[in-house]
Amino acid sequence: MIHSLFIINPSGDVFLEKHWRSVIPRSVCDYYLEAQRASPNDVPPVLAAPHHYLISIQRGGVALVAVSKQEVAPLFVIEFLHRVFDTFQDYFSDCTETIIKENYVVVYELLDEMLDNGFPLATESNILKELIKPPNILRTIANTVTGKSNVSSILPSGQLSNVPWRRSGVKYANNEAYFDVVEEVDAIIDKSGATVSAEIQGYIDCCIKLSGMPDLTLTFVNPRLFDDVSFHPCVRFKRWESERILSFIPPDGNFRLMSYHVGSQSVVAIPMYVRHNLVLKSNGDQGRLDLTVGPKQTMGRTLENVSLEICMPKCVLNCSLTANQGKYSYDPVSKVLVWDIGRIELPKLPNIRGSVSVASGADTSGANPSINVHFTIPALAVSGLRVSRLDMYGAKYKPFKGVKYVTKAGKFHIRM
Amino acid sequence: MATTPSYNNDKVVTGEVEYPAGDPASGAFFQPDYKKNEDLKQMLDGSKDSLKLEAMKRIIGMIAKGRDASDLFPAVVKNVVSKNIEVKKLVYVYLVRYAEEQQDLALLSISTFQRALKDPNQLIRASALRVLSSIRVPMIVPIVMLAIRDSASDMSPYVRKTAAHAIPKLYSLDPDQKEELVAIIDKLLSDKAPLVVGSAAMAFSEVCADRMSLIHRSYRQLCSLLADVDEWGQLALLNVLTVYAKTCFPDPNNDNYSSESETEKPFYESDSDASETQKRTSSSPTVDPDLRLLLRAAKPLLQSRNAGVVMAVAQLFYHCGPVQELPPVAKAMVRLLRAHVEVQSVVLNSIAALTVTKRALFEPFLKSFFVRNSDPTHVKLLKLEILTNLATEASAPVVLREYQTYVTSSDKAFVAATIQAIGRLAVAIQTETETCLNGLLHLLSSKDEWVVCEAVVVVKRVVGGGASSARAAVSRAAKLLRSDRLAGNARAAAVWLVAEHGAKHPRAAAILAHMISNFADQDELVKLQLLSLAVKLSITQPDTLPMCRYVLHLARYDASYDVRDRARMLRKFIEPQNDSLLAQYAADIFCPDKPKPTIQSSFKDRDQYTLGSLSQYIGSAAGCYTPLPTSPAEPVAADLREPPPVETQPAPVQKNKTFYSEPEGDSGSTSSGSETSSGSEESSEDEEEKHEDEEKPKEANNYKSNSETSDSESDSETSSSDGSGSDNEDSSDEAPQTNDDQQEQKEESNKNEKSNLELLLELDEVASTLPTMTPTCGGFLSPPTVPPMGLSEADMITPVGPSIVPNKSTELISRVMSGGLSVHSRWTRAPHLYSNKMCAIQLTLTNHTADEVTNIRLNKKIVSGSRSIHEFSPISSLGPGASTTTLLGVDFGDSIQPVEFTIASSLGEMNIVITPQVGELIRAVNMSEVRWAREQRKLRGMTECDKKAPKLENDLIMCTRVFETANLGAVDSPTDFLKFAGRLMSSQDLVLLSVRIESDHSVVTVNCPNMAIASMLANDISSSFSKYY
Repeated sequence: MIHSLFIINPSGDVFLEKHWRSVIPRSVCDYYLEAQRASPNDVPPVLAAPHHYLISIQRGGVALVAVSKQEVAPLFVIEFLHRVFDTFQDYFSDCTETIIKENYVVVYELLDEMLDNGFPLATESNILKELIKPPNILRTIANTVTGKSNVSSILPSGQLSNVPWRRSGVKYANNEAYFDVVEEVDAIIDKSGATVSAEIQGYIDCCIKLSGMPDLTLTFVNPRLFDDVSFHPCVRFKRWESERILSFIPPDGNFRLMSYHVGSQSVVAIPMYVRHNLVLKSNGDQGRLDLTVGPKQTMGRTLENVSLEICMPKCVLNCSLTANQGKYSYDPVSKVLVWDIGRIELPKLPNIRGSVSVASGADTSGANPSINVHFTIPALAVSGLRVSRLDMYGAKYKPFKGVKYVTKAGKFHIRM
Repeated sequence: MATTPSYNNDKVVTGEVEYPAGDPASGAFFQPDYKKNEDLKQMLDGSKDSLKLEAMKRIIGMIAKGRDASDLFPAVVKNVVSKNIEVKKLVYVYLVRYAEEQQDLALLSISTFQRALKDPNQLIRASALRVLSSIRVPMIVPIVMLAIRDSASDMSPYVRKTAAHAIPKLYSLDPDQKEELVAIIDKLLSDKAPLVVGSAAMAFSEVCADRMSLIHRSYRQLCSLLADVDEWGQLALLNVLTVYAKTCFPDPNNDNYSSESETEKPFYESDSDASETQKRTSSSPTVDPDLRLLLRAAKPLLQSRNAGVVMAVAQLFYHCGPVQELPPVAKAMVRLLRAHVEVQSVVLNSIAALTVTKRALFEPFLKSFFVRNSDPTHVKLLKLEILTNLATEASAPVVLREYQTYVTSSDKAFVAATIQAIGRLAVAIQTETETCLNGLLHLLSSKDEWVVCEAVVVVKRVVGGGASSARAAVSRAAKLLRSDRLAGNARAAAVWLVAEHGAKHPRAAAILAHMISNFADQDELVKLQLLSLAVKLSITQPDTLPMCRYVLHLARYDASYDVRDRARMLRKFIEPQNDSLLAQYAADIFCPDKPKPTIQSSFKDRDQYTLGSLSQYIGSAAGCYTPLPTSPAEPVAADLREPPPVETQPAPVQKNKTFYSEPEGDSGSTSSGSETSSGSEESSEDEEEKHEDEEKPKEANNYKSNSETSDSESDSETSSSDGSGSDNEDSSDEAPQTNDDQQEQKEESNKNEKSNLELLLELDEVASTLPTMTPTCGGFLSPPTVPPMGLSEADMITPVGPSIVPNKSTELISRVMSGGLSVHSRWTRAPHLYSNKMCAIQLTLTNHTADEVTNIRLNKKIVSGSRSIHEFSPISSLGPGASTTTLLGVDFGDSIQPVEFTIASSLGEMNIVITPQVGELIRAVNMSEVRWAREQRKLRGMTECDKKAPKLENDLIMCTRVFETANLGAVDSPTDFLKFAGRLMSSQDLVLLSVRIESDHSVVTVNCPNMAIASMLANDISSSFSKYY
């Protein structure tokens, strides 16, 4: 179980601590800080200190470090910490050090409500939002005038019902249900442009603003594509098993309905290619870099928000390049070259070329940087998944429905 | 900060405040100004809620920042009664944080929570329990215990859930309470609400994880509820059920068991099922139906969005399920790899451990473990480990090609690990040994010195047993050694390589010559290897002997002990003196055939820990880690999982036993034995009464004559003897008796024990047939407390008769006041027949007038709350000079508030006020000393009251004084303590009194959940000691 939680900023200051059992001195975080100092991007999630175990996550520039004194399932803690972070994001629309500091009272109240004696109590955002109202200016002013507080004195009815994720008494003037089918292409492309591995990881995010207790069913044209799925607790698993239909009473607001995986067995279309040429000379001469990006198997759509990120070898001092499209920047400290291309419009292929200065005498052999690629393709689900229809039961009104498809690059690596 | 329109709404109150500091808002979080606490106190002491809220927010800010805010405790704790819910919440947060440090002050808040526990709003009840149980002050243990017990049977599942959460808190505060908590956990585990069950499972694993017997009863229900429990509850529940399944079901993969059951199965199954059974047994091993139930319930959870739940299911299937059902589990685990990097790391770790033994499971997912440059190093290493474990002859080329790319990575630790991995592959997969070795040799000529070193070390390991390519390896190593590019370990390894495989190589001698040219500058390790190279060469190529001597000579004067020692030892081999055997066997010693080394995964022993546990991740047992038990050979306690039949109650079983095994009237049976039965006899009364029917008339008579005097005993004796019918007067007789009336009665009863006993039994019969007493005679007939089943006899608390019944009577109405009718009252120290919560007060009415007084009755009762009066039966007439006695029942509700009533008669109405002494609100009980001590331990803290009193001559006088003051029963105790016990009439709370005798005074200690009673009783007893008679 979780004994204490510390939130640490990148410079190593503990700026928030909360204890659910006896107080554990914050010096225990030194073990974490030590590991972080040794390798800032490679802190193992579980650290064993002499009498404590530190389980941490790093997100949004802050680290959440949970301390336990005994055996506990690490995934339980990690999953919970992520849930905490998600809740903060949900409440404050972002979660950074400044925002946590500004809202420490709500943060504290939330933490108190989410965990009791180290065991989760209420983590559904619908329930939490009824217990503790999210801050906004309007409510703050209203509370001052009326003397009300943003802490509820009655138990959210959802907590006791069998749909604990949905708050009761939802009412909207405009009833709408939007579904975003997002697919991410994870791929590794080797030097010669051949695909080493490629997979599609997809998820369906919903924004549902429907009054009452709507009961929705979502059907797909080709549900056989799914290789492996995981669902929000609201989805009735039995119906999925038997009919391949998503049947659910949705929570109110934004949530992730399902995430799925399209297996590595099926052939994945790789929507773009990069022709690259990097020559580094060890005798101190200028090296050369030449990159050309082009679309491939995009099914007639355009690639947008394309950007390339190259982590250059240590010996590269600086780059002076010219791009025929977009902007580039090079950080000599972290050795990262970022080329922000934007939209690729045929027939012009974006290209960047120029010289690379290398530290003299450095060993340049065997340095093989890799390119991380980002792109989005709107209105396309690369796996070919299509939603067939959305039906609603349990409510009289006619909702406004919408489905949007997006394909993005996930972990898309090109080895150079 | 004050300008930010944030939730930190300090500005809200600025209009109405006169802060000493200019800008209050900025102080909220970051001002390290300690003097500001003064104004915080002022704000808290004020009456405005907005100010209080503001102050509390700032204090919470201090706590969040880890600054000490404990000096504000008194100011904050006052506000626990605040009406403003947010202020209250923040005060709760503060209280929980600092209560441990300020125990005394924290106690001030307790009563607020006690009140809130009775609130109609379930959220308030729950949060009161939550905070109360979070206050880590040992003093309040009894209060929390009580609160948990009440809340565990609350109507709201939310409150019950909170009660489950409170259990581990109390347990960590006071482990002595374990037994009682376990009973509550047992109850909560069989709760029907999914909300509660998850938390109950959590409490179970925190408090009594080894008590698997508690699960039997609710096992099937837990399985069916699993899907409805919230995700965190599922996690806790799955963990508990995994341990349970491991404890109770045989391993489905165990061949012995499945074959055994195969032969047995048709025997049990009906014919129609037989064919199906055979089909099942032929395709998959038999799984216990109860285990199957669990597996079926758990399987859908593999689709949970919560990685923890998925892992818990994986754990269950891996440790308890049949092997055939693992592939979907593997798929779900691979899915988790796309989650956050922290999740990835933990899952990869578990997979790495799994792949050591169950490679086939993850083979289809090989490509999912390919390393990306953006992975953190520890993830890369884990993936590498898995890839190496997964590689087979078929997939090795793919894996090796991947490794080729990895070797050129800029991450040094990763490159090193990759080279090691190639070495492992070379050893593990025979067909690839050549390729691997070639690759490694290729690396030997890499420009990166670091890679080369690593490669040499690995080559040394791979070549170990004499592969065919050893020659190539040797010539490469030789070349490297000549170029002097190696350092330390690598150089030593290269020398070893030459010595081991190149002893016959013509260039070996040249290498040796090259190396010893700067022998003194070599590393120690290299020197040692050079020594053995020299010796080996001198054996295989005898012409190098002079060089060998030269090396040994050099080593003899080396700075290092080890090198000198080694040289001295080796000298014996090359310079044989008197034909020693050593030289003969030198060749066998230095150049034997060595077995091939095995390189194993470093995750090989991770399998011993539970899959996905913290211990598995860190590779050593974490604190409080308990390994899963080993599966039993046979299913355990299968019948216990059957839902209990409705009519089966433990009580009747026990009744039958005592009833039939002990013949009625068996005076030899011990009193305690019969007492046990009396506790469980409620249901059997009817039967008993029938049984006694025949002797009824006689007893009816006796009853009349004895009714007045036997009142005091009737309760104790009936309650303890109505069941088994055995003689058990000893229990009451043991207590010191001084009262004359009772002495007489005792003599009488001794004369004719049997009839007297039945008289007492009959008393029930008479009582229940009396028309006025019917309404609640059950309350009287039933034993005052029903002890929990299964307590040993010595643990019983049984009511006993009073030790002394005071003769002293008080005049309630004097003859003068009423005009001739006087009323005297006397405490009989017995419960009233009408209800055992009522004290029976004997009223003596005397007519002092010359005329008859008629129609005497109780007229008006002025009572409040739970208190009540049961009137005496009206007296139709009282002759001149005559007097009569009657019994009045008063339930004082455990308070010494007076009760008022009026007695009306032909003379008019008279007002009567009765104020009880605290000692009269108690009924004496008998219990063992052990039990007394245990109960007292529960009632420490606030419920304990000490009082100093003078010391009296001897124990006997002290006992008498105590008995005079209060109706308590003595408890046998060997120590120098005098111990007494009783129960409050109304609430049945225990009252424990002890008198400790010190050198010049004595100390009276009273323990009672009712704190008022405790202190009053302590006062009364101590003042009775100081009285002089």
